[in-house]
Amino acid sequence: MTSTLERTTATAVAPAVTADYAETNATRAISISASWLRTDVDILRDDVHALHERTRTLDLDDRAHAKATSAGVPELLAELTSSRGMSWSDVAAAAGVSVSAIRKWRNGGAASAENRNSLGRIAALLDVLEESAVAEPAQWMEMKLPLPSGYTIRPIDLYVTGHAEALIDIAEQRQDAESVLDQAMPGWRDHRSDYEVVVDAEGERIIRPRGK
Amino acid sequence: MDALTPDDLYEERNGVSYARPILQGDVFEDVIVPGLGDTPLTVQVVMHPCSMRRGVQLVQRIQVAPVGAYEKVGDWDRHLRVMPLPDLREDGKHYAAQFLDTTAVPASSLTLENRIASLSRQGILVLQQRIVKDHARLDLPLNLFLEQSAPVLTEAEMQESWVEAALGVATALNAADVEVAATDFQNWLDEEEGRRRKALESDLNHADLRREVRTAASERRAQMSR
Repeated sequence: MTSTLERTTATAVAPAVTADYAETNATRAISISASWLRTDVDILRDDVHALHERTRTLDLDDRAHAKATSAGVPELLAELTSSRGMSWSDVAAAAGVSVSAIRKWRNGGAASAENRNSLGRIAALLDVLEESAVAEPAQWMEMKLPLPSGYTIRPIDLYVTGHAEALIDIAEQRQDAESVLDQAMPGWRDHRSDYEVVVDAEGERIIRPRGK
Repeated sequence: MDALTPDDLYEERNGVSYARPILQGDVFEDVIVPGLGDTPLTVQVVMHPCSMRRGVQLVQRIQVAPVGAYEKVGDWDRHLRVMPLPDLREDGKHYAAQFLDTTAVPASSLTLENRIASLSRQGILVLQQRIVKDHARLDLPLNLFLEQSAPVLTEAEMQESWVEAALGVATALNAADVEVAATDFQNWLDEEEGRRRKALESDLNHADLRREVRTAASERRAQMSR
């Protein structure tokens, strides 16, 4: 991304190419003013976007810390699975641990402070999503993102790859899923499948070539 | 094909919670395998989970592949005819299930007592991916297997949650109590003209159902203790 300083400098130099302001007509002057204003707005938009991302991250960190401080691992797991309805496998993936580790915690095994914070962060994200008008955050995390046919990426996949803030952008409908993925997971378009899962005549899900 | 570390491959080793229903990928000891001699063998269930049950009961015969000592598999794209089971017994030794000798054993020979390992969801999907590649020479991505198997794997996880909530801590369970609780769970799925079983067919309902399970099982437990 172009830095604010670089863009400001570039814009400041650009009008010098126009020889003489006195000789420009009124329309030209308005156009130059509009150009400056547009640049300012672009810079402001990028700055606000960056600021929003940073504050979101801080907010998520604060919430995660509060969750991890006020609740033990069994309570956090109960919140994620019993109250929210996440699967054990998704909790493990989101926390960056194995399912066997989660199972040990379920049975009273000790977890590190880092792991506790990871669980707190997932719980915090689900709270934020709920506040962003996602009625069922755990369910939403499992749903396929609206992408062209042949692509299967779920919000939980984005979270696992470290893009919680991008997820909130999608939830708040600030950007469409494709734009978010282009920034967060470059190369995602290389993984289009020629197969799809459909329900067959016996009511079973089967895998078959797409569009058959 | 996808590779997994032992921690990501297995859900449990050196014993498996009785609350977990028998599933594809489970490893059993001391099983007599027809056609492979009289010596009890270690086997891995390779049968697809959609085909393993009628209601709560396993079908009469379950497809398994014998498990034997095997080299450490570095490149999982090779070794097409096996399912690698690295450090299966947590003793540093490596094993593999041999697809070539896949056969069927009586379901009664696969008991909760002689189950020594279970696979994680990811592990089950990798097993399915390898079976398909071995049998059909078709290499498919894991997300397709996840989508195909989501209802049955969610049902299995829900049953385990139900049994744990209904009976308490998993380590002190016995097989008879587990079967009663599992039957109770299956009946609960069928209540209200099968509303919940139908709901399982759509991934959009799974989070809701998981929440319902825990609440309903706890209520049943409270009723029984009165």
